[in-house]
Amino acid sequence: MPESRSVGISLLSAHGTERGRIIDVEKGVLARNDEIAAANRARFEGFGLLTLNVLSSPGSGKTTFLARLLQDRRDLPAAVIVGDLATDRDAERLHASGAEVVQITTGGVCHLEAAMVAGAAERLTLEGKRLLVVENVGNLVCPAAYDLGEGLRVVLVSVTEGEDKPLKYPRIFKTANAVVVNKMDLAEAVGFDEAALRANLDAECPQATVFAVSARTGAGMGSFYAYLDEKLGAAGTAAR
Amino acid sequence: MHELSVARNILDIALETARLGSARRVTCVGLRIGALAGVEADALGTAFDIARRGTPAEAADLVVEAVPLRCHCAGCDEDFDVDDRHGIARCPGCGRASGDIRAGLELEVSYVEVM
Repeated sequence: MPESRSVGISLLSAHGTERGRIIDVEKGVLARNDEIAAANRARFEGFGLLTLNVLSSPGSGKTTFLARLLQDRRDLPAAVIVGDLATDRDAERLHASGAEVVQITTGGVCHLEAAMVAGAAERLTLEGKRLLVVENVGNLVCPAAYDLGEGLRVVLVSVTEGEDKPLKYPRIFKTANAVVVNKMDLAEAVGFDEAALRANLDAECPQATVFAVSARTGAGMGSFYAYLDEKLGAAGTAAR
Repeated sequence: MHELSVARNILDIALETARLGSARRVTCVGLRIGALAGVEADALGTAFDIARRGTPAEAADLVVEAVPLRCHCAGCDEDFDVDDRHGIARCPGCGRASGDIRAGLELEVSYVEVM
């Protein structure tokens, strides 16, 4: 790195060869996404919406979890945006609960970005809704870097994925507001060590509130609903 | 993760900076990459080498400032750097784990050197 930094002056390096001039930039490489995310956030909060970004590995049970949530909480008018590489199967499943749903098929892109969510939101009626749920593409790596404008980042991990999961994906867990441990109905069958996973979650992401549920049976969902209601209360107040 | 896409974004920022500064070419791009940014420096270098060909930045070096994960301990009211290989952030003062990230997620162009 050059020894001194001056804008507009040619520098000579220690070896006497001409160096250029330094222009300070200080710009995030994903700045464009962050700008759109901020605009999304302001727009969604303006409608009094609580916006969830739901993330996990493929197959952790995001869609089943959301289907359960939307079915149990029909008292909360909801809009849903589902991201997948292909098919609208997930959107179809969630539409059955009565929510307004749009599907984003990314083609090959492995994560959702703020611009995609902004475009999908244009196709939804946000007025009168309380909840906007974004089901991200199944992937614990790339989605972590893309702010979508959410109010809460919810990371799902299922009992079949191993207790070390939080250590393997530090960024996504460290940026989670809530961690939902799913498929608890299978815990005994797979020899799941809940204490070990909770210890890893406490160490890796102490900022996250942890829930243990079975989306399939409904067990444990009550605690998550209480958490949502608390956050919804705050979202409603913010919009006024 | 997406090093080619990241390299193209970096190139765009560098070329735009050169254009606004009325410079003919870019000789160096300074980056700041956090420990949890999810971008691997060598892979990024390879991707940038591909992306810069045939542009005013085709001979530009990439200089990377690596930023460690830094967290804040609420109990001690102090920041601390994390070098645990799993990214577990325990305050060296009191031992409590922290999820309050103050640095380490950066993926930024800090400066561009032009001629």
